[in-house]
Amino acid sequence: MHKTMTPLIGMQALRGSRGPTRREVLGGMLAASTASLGLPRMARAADARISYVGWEGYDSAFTAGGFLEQNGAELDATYIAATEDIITRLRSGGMGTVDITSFNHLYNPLMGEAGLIAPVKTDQMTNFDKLLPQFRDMATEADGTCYGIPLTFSSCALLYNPAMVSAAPTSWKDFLAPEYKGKVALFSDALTNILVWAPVATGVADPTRLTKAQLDETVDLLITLKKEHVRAMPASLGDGAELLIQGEVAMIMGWEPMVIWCREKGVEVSIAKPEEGTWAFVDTLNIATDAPNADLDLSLIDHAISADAQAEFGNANLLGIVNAEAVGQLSPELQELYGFDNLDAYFEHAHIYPRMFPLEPEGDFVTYDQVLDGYDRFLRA
Amino acid sequence: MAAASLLELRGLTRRYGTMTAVQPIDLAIRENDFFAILGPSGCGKTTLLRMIGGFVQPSDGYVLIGGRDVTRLPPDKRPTGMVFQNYGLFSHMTVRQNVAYGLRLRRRPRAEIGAEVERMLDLVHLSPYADRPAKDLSGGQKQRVALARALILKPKVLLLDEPLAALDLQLRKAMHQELLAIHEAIGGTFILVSHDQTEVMTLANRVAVMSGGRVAQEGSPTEIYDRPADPFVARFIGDANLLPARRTGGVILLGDGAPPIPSPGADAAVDVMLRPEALRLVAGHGSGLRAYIEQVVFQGSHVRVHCLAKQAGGAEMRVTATLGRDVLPAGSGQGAAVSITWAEGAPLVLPAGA
Amino acid sequence: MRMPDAERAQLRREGLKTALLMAPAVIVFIGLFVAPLAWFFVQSFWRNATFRVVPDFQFGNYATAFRDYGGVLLRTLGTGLEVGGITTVLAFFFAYAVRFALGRAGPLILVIALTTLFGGYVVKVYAWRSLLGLDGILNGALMAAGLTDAPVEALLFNAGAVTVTLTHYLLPLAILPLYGALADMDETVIAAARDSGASAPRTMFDIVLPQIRPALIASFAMSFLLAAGDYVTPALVGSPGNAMYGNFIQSQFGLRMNTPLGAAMSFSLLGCCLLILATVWLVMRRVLRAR
Repeated sequence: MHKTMTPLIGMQALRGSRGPTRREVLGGMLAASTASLGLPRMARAADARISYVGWEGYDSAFTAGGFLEQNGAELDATYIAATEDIITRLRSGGMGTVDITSFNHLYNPLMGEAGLIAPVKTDQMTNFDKLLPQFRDMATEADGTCYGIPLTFSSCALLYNPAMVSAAPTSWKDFLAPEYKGKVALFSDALTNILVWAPVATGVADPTRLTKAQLDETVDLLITLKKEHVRAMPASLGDGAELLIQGEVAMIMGWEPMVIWCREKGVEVSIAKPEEGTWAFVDTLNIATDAPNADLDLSLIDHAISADAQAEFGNANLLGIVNAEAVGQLSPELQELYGFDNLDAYFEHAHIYPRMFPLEPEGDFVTYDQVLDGYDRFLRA
Repeated sequence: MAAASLLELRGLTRRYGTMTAVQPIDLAIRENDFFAILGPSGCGKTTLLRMIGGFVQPSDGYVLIGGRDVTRLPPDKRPTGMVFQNYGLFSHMTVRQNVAYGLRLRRRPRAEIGAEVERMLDLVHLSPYADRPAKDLSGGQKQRVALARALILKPKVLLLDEPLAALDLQLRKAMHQELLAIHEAIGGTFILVSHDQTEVMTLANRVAVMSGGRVAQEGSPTEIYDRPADPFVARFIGDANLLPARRTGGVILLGDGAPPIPSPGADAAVDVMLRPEALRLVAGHGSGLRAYIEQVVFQGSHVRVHCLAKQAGGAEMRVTATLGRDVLPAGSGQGAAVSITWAEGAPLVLPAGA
Repeated sequence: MRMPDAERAQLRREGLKTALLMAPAVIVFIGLFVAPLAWFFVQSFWRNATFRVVPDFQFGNYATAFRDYGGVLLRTLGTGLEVGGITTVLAFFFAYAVRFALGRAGPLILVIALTTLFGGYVVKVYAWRSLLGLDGILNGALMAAGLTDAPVEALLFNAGAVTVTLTHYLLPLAILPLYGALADMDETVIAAARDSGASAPRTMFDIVLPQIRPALIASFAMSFLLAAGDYVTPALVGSPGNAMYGNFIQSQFGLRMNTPLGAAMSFSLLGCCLLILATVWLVMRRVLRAR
């Protein structure tokens, strides 16, 4: 029974590039269950119903500032537990009914090529030019077509409790130090683990292009970590924060908002900058192919990256934002957390990779399926 | 008598909190007795039986069987066997398995168990049902299985806890005959708990009447019927007219026309017991207690005649007579005047009571 | 003898009425249970291509389900057996005490126990985490008692913690059928067994357990199936290596989008579970039979 009724508050956060919002983790089990059952929220009659399939919390960018009301529109939100849920939804009759999705940018070229999402006409947007340069460039970097407008960013941060370490970690390899045996945690997401640990294991610059040997090396390192060093693989990001708060671990593969969650529980944790860098999560908003309200959808996305909506979104979700004009409206805490004073430095450390692992064989590189097989090998070991 | 007694209860008591279910009881039951404990529900008779069987721990006192103190022994260590009111059959077993269970626990040879079970099933007329599931039997059959299951262990004392209460009248009568036959056939000491005085009269050779947690009277059925110790026993065993009166100077006058009843003793209020079947009616007010017929109730083989008479003091009292249909005086309709007579020695004078 | 026509028509009407009355239940059963299951069963023989499934008839998915995930399957079934066994035994003793030993306080204790034992699944998991954690109550007590000077790490994030948590979660579910069966059981039957010369333990084995065998099997089956199908508890309190078969099934349906393999793995787990339950049923029937 609990399979369907109280699912996976945890697992929900593990897939894809993003964790649950605080509401979800700390109280919103009901919301989480509705989300994973895929039930749309109740809504009143309206001229247009915009169907959003994506992460919970992101809809706060839509609802900010009364845009929906002014346009006689209402939002039907279906929350996902994993990025793959969006694909499943679109593949199983979602096209023609779904308006907006929230793919991680890595997926965008593939999803666009597969015909699941439509190109976004950036020239018809009023706020596109206000994006921070990193995101403006990124929107078109894959093949010149823009399949998604960046909404938010964050990264897989190495968090540590200064009280429990002898020195600030300087490398992900510090996870392997005897001193921290049984005092570190990985979070159990396939993509994140591979993209963060492949550079550590092999020195590869773009971990989305791995050879079979590199993948095996990465998985072997992960298995060593799991078997000999890791105390737990938290089932959600909120769960990971709990491990830090309760002093179960000294270091964790984490996420920036955890810093604030821990602070609220009276535990100060710091972000280390390991020399291998890390993976930057950039989530985008996309318009699904055959979206019923395509024009309104574009306006709504335009609204979501407006300065006011961005500020409200960032402060509510404790996440990085993409609109340059909104930065000043973020809480100082957030401005510091995401290093807005030197964003170039942030992204020099947290890498944005242009596209996903290949889906079909591509030269010597392993396919996404092979990567997931490798990750399964790690889980089984 | 004490020397021959098989079961002895000494000061046996059971209290539940402040309530005393069984007052200190002393009883001696002889070998081969069919002993009945009779009483209304709630009088403590089942608790007493359960203390003998070991299912209820006494608060005080001793249970001795064959001179051995068994007070602290659990049921499985006592030489007693119990037949429960609601049978307590092992519903997942066949009739045969139910009966054989005790012997199997005792690890008797298989052949011996088989033979014993056959003998027992034969005794209770259940051989054709031996391999039926116990749960598929009728009430009477179940009770016979329970009987066979207890008897096969040859208990020194067989305890029967209202064993026939759940059966209908016809079946009950038939089972009475069977129980008697079985007691005859295998002997042993049976202790029966019942609230049915007919059953007790039919089966038992000794009876203890219980009331309010104590034994009101103990004796043979005829003793108890003929010489009840108090008005409670008199009323509980059979029908009884208990007529209030006063003893004055060694003589009791029941009412107008009644012959004086000699009764030695100090002056006191008394109850005079007259069994309905001991009374005769004579038409008209002649010699005998003067009364008027209030109602005649036809009861098949006999009639019950309810009469109204006057006590010596003038207050009305009801007197009931049981008569053969043919001895009812002619013209004795409602309101007819009659005289009630009895044989000398029929009245029993009891201390006035409830 | 021929039946009059009117009577036959009456019977026919009755039959029709019964069929109509049953129709909604049958439709719901087929629509919500049989049909989806059959659909997934068919798919379990298909092949997976990128983002889509290809109809086929091959056993490759089943081969993978056992070959690549055989170790996980065994561990999962082992956990299920362990949790199912422990839960059923504990639930039996609890239900037995409530029914026979605690007297009038029994039902009250049952209600208290059930209301405290029932409750959010995830809440319980987190409760055990804070009990067993490094700065948890148990470690606090051990250190206060001077039994250890550093918190014991071995309490949490291992198979033992999974067993404890799942047992706690499943206990009320296992108690209910057992208590129901014991409540229906006549105390006289137990008294009769004692009277026949059976000791208390003998009575338990010969009389009580055989009579409540269906409830024992129901309790065991329920806790076994839920434990073997669980994948949340191991993720939250288990050791990092404790992933259950369900985790991989979930991953096939979600992350891997490989419905055929996910279906094949589901049916493999289902088949193994049914096999185990059938075995348990046979063993129980053999051990707890009337003698």
